[in-house]
Amino acid sequence: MSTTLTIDPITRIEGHARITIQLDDAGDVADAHFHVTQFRGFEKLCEGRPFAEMPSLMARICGICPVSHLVAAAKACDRILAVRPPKTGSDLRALMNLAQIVQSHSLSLFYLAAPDLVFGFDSDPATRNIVGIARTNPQLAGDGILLRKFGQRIIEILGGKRIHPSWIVPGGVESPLTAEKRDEIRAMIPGAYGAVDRTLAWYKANLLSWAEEEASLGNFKSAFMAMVDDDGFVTHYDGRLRIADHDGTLITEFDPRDYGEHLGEFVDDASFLKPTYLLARGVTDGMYRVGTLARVVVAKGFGTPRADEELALFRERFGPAPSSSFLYHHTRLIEILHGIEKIEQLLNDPDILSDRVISNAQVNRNVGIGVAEAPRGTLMHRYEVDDDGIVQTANLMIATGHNASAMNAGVLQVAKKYVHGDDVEEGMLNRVEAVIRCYDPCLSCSTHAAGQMPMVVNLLDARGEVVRVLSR
Amino acid sequence: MTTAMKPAATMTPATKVVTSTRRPLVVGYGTAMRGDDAVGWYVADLLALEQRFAGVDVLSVHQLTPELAADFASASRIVLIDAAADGDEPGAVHVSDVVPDYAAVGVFSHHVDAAALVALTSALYGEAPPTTMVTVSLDSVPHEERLSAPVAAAIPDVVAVVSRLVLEDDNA
Repeated sequence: MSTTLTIDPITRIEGHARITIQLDDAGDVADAHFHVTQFRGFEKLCEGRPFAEMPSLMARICGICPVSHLVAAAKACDRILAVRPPKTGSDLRALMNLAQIVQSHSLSLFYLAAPDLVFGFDSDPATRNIVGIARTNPQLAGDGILLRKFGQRIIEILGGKRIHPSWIVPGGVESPLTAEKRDEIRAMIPGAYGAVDRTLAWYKANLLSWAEEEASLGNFKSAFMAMVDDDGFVTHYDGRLRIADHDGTLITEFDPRDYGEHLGEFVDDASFLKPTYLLARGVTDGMYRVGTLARVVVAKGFGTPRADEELALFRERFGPAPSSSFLYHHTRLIEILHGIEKIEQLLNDPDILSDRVISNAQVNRNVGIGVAEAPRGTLMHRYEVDDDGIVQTANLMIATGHNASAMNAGVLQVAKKYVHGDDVEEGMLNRVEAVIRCYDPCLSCSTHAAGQMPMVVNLLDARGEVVRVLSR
Repeated sequence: MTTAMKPAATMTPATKVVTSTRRPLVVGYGTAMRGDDAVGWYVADLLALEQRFAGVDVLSVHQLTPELAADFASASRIVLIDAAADGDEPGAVHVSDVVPDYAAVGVFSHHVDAAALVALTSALYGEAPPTTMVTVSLDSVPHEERLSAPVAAAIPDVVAVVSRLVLEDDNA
């Protein structure tokens, strides 16, 4: 009799989801699925709205990464207008996106993942949280708060508010950066460097204690996809999409606007999340990963000196194309450092204070595609408009959708280790949560869901009937 | 106005720790687009416009998040304003002190309970200023940016309570 195990809800991720583990007649784990149980529907509700509303409307998809949606939406609108924003307009958009990457990674690493890293994956859930860290390692918790505030404050300075700023618009940004605001951001940078330096030192000092998790949490072969600039370095604002195989060899590289020729989507009947796959490999074999781990695999480097120094150490230890999803945490931390460096570089360019920040035009195209690297991976917006600029269709491909197959593979790997028949080893729930958390999935983004993701596990027999439910 | 102390174990009188260089902080929070849940925002907006509150820092936020601990630590005292689904008469105003509760974190994502946030502030910065929760019993939370009549009518009472807490008590 086969059995299905369901985990619902899952804690410390963004949104609501459930996990089902299917057992075969012999009681061995046959398959595992990560289901997103909430529906947002932004692709549908924006139909009939003027395209110029898309950046601010789409930003409402997520309270954690609204800026990435702003950027992708505005870039799609740029295409509809057939304009290029002035360099300063693009640089200011990139600056805000980097600030969001710093604050989002800080949330993921310090608030959501660090409790497992500090207290152990099987420690008491009641104390395995940021307040628990504050009591045992206040420096670490304080640095996390500092870095999150650093990113949020930059977003607030640029866009007027921390969440859902509407400053990024079609054609550029609404207003230039003043010298006073630039200097306020600059003044925060030394503190941010101090926080990330201390955290990197702590992380590296504790690497060996997480060897088991590195080996077993989402450790499998897959392709990787991320955006790179003309020199092959990581870029979060504009560039070409590069797909590399599990060993880092190049599969293809293309203009992001041609994503439809390389990536497909399919509907999972049991989930509101739309998984994606590499068209050339098909649904079954087309799994790939996006996000920080993918970025460091496909790119030559970050292109900033301190982050590249850390990346060199990372590659020395884990190789150029590591396969463990647990390493998302480490790469997130290095990318925080890169984000601070890049923000500093952008602010040191005198042109950042230019008054020329927006290009104006009317509708000149009926299709616009905008792509950016969000904290969790590649984000794509595609709008089709009529001649009056009214949105006819919208398609969103979100990082969590790109990573959906990889998350399933990660859950399957953990389940095979911890589940034997209806005997579930202690620690299975924690490991399943932990492997999903590696990807920092944002279900609000990928399903168009609010709130947190609490966990339920359903164990089903061969006929698909629930024979056991685990939850907490 | 009705004034009542919440009986919850996490709410007990706080020790007053005020330094002369710090400013009071008022935080109104809730969902701005869900009817009465926005009452904290409405009050915060009013306070921000009043000259007599010029020496008070006022924030409007959707939810309490851990990074607010840094703002808490630099304040002389804190007043939190929220709507409450406590079953009391709509518009009833309740005032209670908040003390650290490390166990109030719960299933944690990226927002925290007021008692947990005060605990976080204490753990990180050595102490937390006296923190008071002012709640308004809600009537309804429809998907609209409008307060119910009884909750809207309670706003002057809430402003008066906050005024007493951050202007009069601080100068006492």
